[in-house]
Amino acid sequence: MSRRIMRTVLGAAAALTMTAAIGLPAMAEGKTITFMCWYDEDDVAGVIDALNEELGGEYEVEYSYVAQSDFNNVLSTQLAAGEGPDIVADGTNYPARIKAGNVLEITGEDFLEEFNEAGFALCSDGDQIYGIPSYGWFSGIWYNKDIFEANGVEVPATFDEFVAVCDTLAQAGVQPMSFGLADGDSALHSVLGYLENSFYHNNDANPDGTDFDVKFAYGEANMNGSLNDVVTKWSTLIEKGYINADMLGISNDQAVADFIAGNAAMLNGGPWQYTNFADAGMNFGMMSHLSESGENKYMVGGPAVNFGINANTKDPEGAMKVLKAFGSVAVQQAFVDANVGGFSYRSGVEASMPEEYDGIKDIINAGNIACTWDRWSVNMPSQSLFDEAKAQLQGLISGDYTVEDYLQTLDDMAANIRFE
Amino acid sequence: MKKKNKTDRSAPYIMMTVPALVIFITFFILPLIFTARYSFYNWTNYTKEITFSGLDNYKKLISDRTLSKGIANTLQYAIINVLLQSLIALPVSVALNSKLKGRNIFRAVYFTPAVLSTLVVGYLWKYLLSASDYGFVNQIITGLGFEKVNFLGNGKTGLWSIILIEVWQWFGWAMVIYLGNLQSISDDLYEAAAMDGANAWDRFWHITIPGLAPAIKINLVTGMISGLKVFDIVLSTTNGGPAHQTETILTLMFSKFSDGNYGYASAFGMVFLAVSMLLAVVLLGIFRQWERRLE
Amino acid sequence: MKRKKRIYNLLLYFLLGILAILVLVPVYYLIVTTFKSGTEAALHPMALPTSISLGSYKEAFVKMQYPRAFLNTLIITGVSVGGIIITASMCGYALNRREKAKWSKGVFLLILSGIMFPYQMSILGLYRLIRDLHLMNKLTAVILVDIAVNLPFAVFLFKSFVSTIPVELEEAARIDGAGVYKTFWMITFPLLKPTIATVAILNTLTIWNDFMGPLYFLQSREKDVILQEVYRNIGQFSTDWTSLFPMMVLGVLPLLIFYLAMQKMVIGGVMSGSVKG
Repeated sequence: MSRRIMRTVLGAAAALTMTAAIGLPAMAEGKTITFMCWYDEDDVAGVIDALNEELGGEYEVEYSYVAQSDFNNVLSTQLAAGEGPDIVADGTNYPARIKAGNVLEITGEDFLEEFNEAGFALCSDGDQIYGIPSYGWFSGIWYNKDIFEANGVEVPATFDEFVAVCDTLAQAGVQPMSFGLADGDSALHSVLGYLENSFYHNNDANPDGTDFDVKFAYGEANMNGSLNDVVTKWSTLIEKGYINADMLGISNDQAVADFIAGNAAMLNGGPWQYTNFADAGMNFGMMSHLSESGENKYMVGGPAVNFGINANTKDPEGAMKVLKAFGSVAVQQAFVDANVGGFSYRSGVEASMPEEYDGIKDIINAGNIACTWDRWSVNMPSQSLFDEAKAQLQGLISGDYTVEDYLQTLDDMAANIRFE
Repeated sequence: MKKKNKTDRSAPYIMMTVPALVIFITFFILPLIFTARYSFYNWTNYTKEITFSGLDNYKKLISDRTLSKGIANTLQYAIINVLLQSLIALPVSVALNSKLKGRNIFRAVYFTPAVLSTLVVGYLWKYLLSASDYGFVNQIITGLGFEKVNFLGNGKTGLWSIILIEVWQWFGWAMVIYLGNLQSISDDLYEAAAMDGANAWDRFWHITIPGLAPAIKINLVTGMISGLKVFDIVLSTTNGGPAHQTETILTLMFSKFSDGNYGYASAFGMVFLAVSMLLAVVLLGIFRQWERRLE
Repeated sequence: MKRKKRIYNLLLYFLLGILAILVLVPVYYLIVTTFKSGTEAALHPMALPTSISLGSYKEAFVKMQYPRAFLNTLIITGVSVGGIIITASMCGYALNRREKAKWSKGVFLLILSGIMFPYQMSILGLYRLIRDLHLMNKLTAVILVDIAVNLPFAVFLFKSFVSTIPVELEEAARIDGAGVYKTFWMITFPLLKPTIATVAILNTLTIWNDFMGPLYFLQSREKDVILQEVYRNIGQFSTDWTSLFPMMVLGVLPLLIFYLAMQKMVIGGVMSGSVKG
């Protein structure tokens, strides 16, 4: 027995050594430009088609998907190793990519003039431009109109009214909100959405306004001691059990499925989910994150994913052509079409806002869109703090942390990751 | 003449150790020295120049509240896991060492999970233990009339769930090691004991257990070391959550690494070294005591 | 007495049977779920599938770029195992035959430290080293690391097995004029077969299932291994069962087949690998 095995083992080893020495046959070196992102292949198919059409066969764009929860890991390690896709795509961490020298400067390219200033919030550093935005995203609260009607509740305007709505629904035996907090960030959107309306804006106790985040980013202000009252107010939702520890064992996908199935009345989310609900034939609408007064409301949002050229690319010329295609009306239109309700930073793109968005149209049109973690990015890789804020929020929800503990963990994390 | 001859004879042998030594030193010893060094530098993905930063990384470590949790979890994973594995594997191996019909089939079945990738095992159990309606284990629990258990969404049950998954996967491996050892215990010993009127329990306690000393040692040491290295399974089940409560030193290190905080992650590596050394010393001490008692 | 024995045996079978069920149910679940829709799996998790269709496997196969990932995994495992056998057998042999020498004791102690300490603690230094050697994103990087990490235990096994081979055998060859190397490769190495098989099996299991090494050192998709494909596709927990379960099965299938085909050898390998250790 053992002789035969021996021969097989050694034979296999020898054969493999040879294969390895010769190396795999090189992949066909067509003019392929790679790009990697966290959008599902199905969702991004329209964009890829538009890109390839725009390129007219000169280049082919190859897409690879990485789950959002791992995206930061994967992209960071690839870039640090001198590798990575030709087109670098990233969201709130895009400034960190610029800082790390991962993306090429493209200041002065003609096609950049087609974009409005706000679109470069994450992909520029002072006057230098390092990339282009895709579309404008925002998050709010989806609600099931049928459930609201059946229980005789109106869309709330203030936080207190919102809690009252949850009370009414819960008393009627309806789960007010659906959360999948095993992996989802919807609870973080909920608290930061409330902060945007009740701390960063509309709050006399915070004279710095949104500049608080800039101070925080540079280590001149701390969260613990500043945000406590507001976060405590928000955690009424935890106290009353509308956001609870059971939800920590539920995945985000499941929470969305529950909302679609009518098992819960509300869901924190945004335009990227619009088609899911519309296709399921739901009667739904969006409301804003909540504020104390109900006046001067803000949506959480900003430029979604940004694109730039990998400093390590072997084909900078091709990557530039592809980047220009990314900036074309057709491709930018494809992004907005895939995110119904999302807006565009490029002239010539027509974004539609179906009636489901009637409740928040005015806020968007007024330009009241802001995003806490994008503001952190001036002096830290903000994705890291975002991930930490999401992870530690689980502790606040499970009751293991007090509000003070929670905010302190964020201060600690920030102290570890600031650029300077 | 004689002396020269002797060194001549050593040279080819020394040469034969060189390939192994070169690879081992380059890819095992050297990286350790590098890591120790980088733990004193502010090496991040965002700094163009790596500069000496003294004890900064270690100061950060001390104020890092996830660290103590990570160390405690790592030790728990390592110790509880190894004990539970042996607790199941020992009696099973004794049973399968008798002339039981079908023992080879049992043996093959119990070993099966050990050939599966830990990562996939984690994903599989994540579905099985889910608190959603389709979670298989919870379907059974609610079917029996009990309350649903949020296995992976709670820090305490999450930790235990991971340990039990590990036990499920690896007790078969421990069993095989015990079986190998049992075969080397001479039947004469048992026969002699039976003649002396010792019952089954006495024989198990006074012959089997001391006879299994080598296997127990191996299982404890290898189990402990692999317990320290718990990584894939946490990544695929809880990803360290909720709120970092199931994190291990290695998963924490990986998250610092993917944040681009390389110097800081290096300091985690040094903590890992310290914990491994501590465990090794404790284990060796226990074995020495035990051997003394056996003598 | 006989009756007591029978009851004892029945009880034993009962307990062993329960344990076997606990072990097999998750594996069964993994496999049958690949042939079910999400709702079917949620409603009747243990039922046999109503129809067997390989369509979802085909899809998973394509999505995972399986042939490429498989080949990468195979190359890494095969070359590493071969490398370990060659370097460790020589080293173990030399250390045994010169056991009394000071250098031999020192080398052995150094290598033994590799068994006690997990290499993961120095992964950052390793990352840096691989980068500086320009090995990043090359299969060679993972192969070299796998050899270095698994070498110590193999050296240990070879060294103790060599001591059972009488020196006289080699001396006969030496008288015929063969040098140390020739004697080793012609006479001793073939006699090491049992240990070679053990080392091959143990390391095939470890290296094939190694996820951390590739995760740190192989970044581009053309270079990744099967487990990275699993991770990439299942990274985020999803309710899309029909596409995910086949991927999990494809992730464990090669070693499962290897095990089913050579079950006795695999178990024997683990057994002898540890008894000597």
